[in-house]
Amino acid sequence: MNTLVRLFGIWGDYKKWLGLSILLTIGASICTLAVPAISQSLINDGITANNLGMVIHYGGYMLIITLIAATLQVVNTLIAVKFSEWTAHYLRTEAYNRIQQLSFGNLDRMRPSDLLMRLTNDVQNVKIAIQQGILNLALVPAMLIITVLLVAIRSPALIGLMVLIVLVFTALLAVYLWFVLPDFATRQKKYDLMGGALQENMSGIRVVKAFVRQRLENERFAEVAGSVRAASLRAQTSIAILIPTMLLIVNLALAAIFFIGGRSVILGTGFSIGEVIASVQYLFLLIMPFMILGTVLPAISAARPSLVRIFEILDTGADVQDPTTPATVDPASVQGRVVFDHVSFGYKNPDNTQGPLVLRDISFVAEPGQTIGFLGATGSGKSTLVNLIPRFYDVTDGRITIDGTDIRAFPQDTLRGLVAICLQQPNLFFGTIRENLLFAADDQSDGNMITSATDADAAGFIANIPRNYEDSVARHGANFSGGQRQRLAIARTLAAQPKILILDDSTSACDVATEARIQDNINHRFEKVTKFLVAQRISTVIAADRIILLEDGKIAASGTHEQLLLESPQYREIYDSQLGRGIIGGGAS
Amino acid sequence: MTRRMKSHDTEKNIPMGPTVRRFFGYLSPHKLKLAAVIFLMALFALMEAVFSILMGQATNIISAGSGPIEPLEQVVVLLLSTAAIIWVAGIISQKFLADIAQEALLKLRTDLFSHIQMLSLDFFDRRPIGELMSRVTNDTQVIEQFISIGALETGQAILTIIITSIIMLWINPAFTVLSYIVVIALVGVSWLITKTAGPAFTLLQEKTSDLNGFTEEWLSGAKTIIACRQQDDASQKFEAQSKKVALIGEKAQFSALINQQISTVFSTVLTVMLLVVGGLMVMEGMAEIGTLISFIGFSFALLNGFTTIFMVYAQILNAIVGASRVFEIMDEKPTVADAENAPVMPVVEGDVVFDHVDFSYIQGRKILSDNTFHAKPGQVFGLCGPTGAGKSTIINILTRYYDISSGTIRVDGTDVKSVQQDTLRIQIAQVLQEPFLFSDTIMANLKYAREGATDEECIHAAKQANAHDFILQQPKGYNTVLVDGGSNLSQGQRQMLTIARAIVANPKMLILDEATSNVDTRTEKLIQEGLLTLQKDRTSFIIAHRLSTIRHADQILVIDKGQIVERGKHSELMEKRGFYYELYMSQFRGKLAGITGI
Repeated sequence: MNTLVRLFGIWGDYKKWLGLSILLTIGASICTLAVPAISQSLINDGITANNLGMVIHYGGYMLIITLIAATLQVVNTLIAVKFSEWTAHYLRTEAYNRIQQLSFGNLDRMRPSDLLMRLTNDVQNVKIAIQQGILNLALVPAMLIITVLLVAIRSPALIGLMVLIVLVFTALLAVYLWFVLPDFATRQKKYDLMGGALQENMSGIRVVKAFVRQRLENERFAEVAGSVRAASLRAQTSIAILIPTMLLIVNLALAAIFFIGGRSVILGTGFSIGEVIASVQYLFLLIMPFMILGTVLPAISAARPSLVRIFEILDTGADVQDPTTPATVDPASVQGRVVFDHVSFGYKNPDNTQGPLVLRDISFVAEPGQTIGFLGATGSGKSTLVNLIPRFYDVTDGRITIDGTDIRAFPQDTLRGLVAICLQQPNLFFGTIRENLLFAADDQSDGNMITSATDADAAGFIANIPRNYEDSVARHGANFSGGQRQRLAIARTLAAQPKILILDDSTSACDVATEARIQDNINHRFEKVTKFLVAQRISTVIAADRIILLEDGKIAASGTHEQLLLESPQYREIYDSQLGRGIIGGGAS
Repeated sequence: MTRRMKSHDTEKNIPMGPTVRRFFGYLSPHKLKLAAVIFLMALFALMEAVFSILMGQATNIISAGSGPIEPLEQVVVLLLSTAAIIWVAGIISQKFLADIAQEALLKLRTDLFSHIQMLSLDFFDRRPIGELMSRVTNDTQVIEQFISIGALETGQAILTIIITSIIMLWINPAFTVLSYIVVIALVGVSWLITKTAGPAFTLLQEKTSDLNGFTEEWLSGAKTIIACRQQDDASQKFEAQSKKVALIGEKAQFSALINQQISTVFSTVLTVMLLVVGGLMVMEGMAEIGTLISFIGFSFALLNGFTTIFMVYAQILNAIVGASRVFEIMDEKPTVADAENAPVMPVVEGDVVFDHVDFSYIQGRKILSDNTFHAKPGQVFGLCGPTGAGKSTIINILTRYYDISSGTIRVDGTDVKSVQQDTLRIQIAQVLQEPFLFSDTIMANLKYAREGATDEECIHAAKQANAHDFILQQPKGYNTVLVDGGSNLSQGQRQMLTIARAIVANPKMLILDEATSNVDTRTEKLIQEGLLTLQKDRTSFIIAHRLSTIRHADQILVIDKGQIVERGKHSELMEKRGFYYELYMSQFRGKLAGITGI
């Protein structure tokens, strides 16, 4: 109920239009129901009485009243469409804006695919429910009540029959909602399973072919496709029974009207022929609300959880908050001395409680212009550590300072203007290469773009593309190879011209020679910038001023390559395993 | 982009006739049932018309005023029996049709799937997985919707129109003409109105999919947007697109919904016109009032029939487009095809010869040129070189995923092109860079390598690959189900499983594409041990990303720009101080401490 109240709150002053909508609906219902009554008069006073004037007279009324009903409905439709479309727009943009305010921690807990579903499907569900609700929620009871009243007043002999029909159709509607619709939901689940099976087969097609197991795959697929068939058949069988049964009820009711009404006319106990025919029309008017409910109720019940999910986004508070009294900083004067002072960190659990620590008591100093390399196995905490510097996450304990100021004292936007990071996942966006390269840059000049591309070893392949920097980047950068995407992402980071530069395993898809070139270029152009390199390959960090070896979130060793070779057995082990004991000649082991 | 344009073009020029005929091929095994459906539909339509006539008769009896009650009772009994027949015919025909539709779809889906399994890898390079998925699921679903709903409605509508028309003509030709004029006029007008809503909906769909595409891309790049401080820009772009969708949505939805109102008005117009003109005829004595009432019923049946056909028309077109997209895939021929009567590859020893091999994925763009080497049974060959040099390509053509442009590849002296590709491939175990596992039990994943592999063999292989211990630590041991292709295992554990799987396959040749990602040193050691076990007594080709993995190779092929630029053992190549030496030394970045043997 709360979610509905909140939806009303969003509508604010627009709510008064909903009142108008209800009035319009009631008016339209009355007009719609007046039509059979008039046709009854047309037959009785016109045709049966052989009076052409009356026939035309009543025929004209029927048309005029139908037109009025239609006009009222059209206005109501306009209200419904405006409300639904603009509420959808509002929810969508508010939710998206909210997402833009969130931090990495929030994004980790809400997966992108889940957010996408909320912004598309859930918004769509709400939209349809609002539209259908405004169109029909008032219409259904209005029609039912007025029809029953009309029958009760004009043909009281049929009221029992009409009530019986209402009851039977209520039962059929219940059967549909509780038994048939779930069958369709089951069918959809089977479809999803089939989709999953397909996805897996196709992404593993190399493995399928390598082991020549096409036959097994065919059998497996036949099984899931078979379960789709079974589920579909079940759902459709229910429909095959339900629809003709509804028709049967209507036909039986028609027969009953002719029998009860006809008997009454023939025996002269009060019915007229016009009344019998009007009753037939009332019967159809009585059934209509149930047909409407059959489509509207599922839509509305689907919309409620959707609305809750959308509001959930709107209510999410960012993990990382800007300081109330930010430190004043002149970006030009920042030196880039980064200090980790007994830093510990743990991700938050999905329920927002503090999870286990993944970084423990990390302390080090990075002097301006130095290169610090982080080395460690997957899951050792390297990426997490560098993500703390631009405050993607806040430290759990200890503090990080830049030139002596706690980074939590900077507004996030200022801080991230100083610190540029090339993330592990090189996301490119639909647009031109130029737009992508200058995505984070204050300096939008060609010079900056080309220098950055050259330094990232990307200028070469860009030169081979027909329209060079003006050429297009497909969604997700799909028209570039993994290595090319990485180099474009590095160029984008370099173009931001930061004081502190972080490359998070950004050259993993490049060969060692390319990687070496990029590093040399960076050292040359960003001599005074503090640089952090995260790597799985020892070659990436071997030339760093200091290498920090992380193990299980703790600093296992720290020093230059030469020092570590001597002092750290763990480092030696990695070195031996990756670079083969550093043996140059000598041959086989 | 160009690909999208192309597929759009083909959608417009689909071969309607052949597609429909081909699809009927899928229905033909169910001829008897189909005949029953058509018969029952006709019966259904006929009985509906009879029901209308009976109502007319009842009206006539009633309008005659007081009289005997028996005739009315007789008509009511007839009405009840007709209703019962309609009911039964309706249920059986719908049920049969659902049966036929589901059988045909199952066949279509499995045919499509097994056909896709047969296609060569270049097909999967050309077609994104998403597109293929949509053909097997969405396109077949569109067809399903048509057969199970559309076909039924169309069939009923056509039969209703025919039977109703005949009966109308039989009862009263003048009324028939009158009804037809009114109905056709109404159908025409509403068709014109529907046409105006169509383009708005197409535009809405386009804008919505633009918005969804944008949202998907920018949400998955949310972290990059934060890192690049572009949140405000992203919000503005989103709002602009969302606004477009809302504006067009307004138009499209409004015109669609207005249609409902227009059709309500129209049905009243129909009733009034029939009542006025028909009433006049009744008054002139040209017809009975009951006939008039029946004809109102008939006219609605006609109106419904025609409207249904118009509505279903779009569905039919969609279904044909869907079917043609499905058949398009089924018409794809594997580019790497076995020669007719190609013999089975005999059990090999693992003697591999590349003899002046050239290869290009796209004609004219050579990826490999003039590659010649000879690997003797049991030898280990290392392949190294810069990214994109062609290392993986050598592997892809040895397994005959692609056919070479010129030269020959011989295994044990047999040209690989001359034998059945599956019988060659099954003799080459592969450990790929990305450890791909199926969402099934660990045991099922191991057994995947070879048909008929036993539990014992798999456990033995797991032991050799150092995977046995961690498998036993899983909740259900070998019967643990891997979620999402193994996301409940670590990267290193997944690699060990793929190694164990290759050991289960147990062939004479091995291809190993080394994983780039790092695991902790302990796991790394276990993996390396497993790999060495795997290489034993097998002709092995190892693509190395870290040169240390191939230092022990009998021969290292250094590949640059599609050519073998250097070859020899590690020590020989280092002494040569050429390309390999440079590559090797670049790993150290001039940090020579710890290096021995200079």
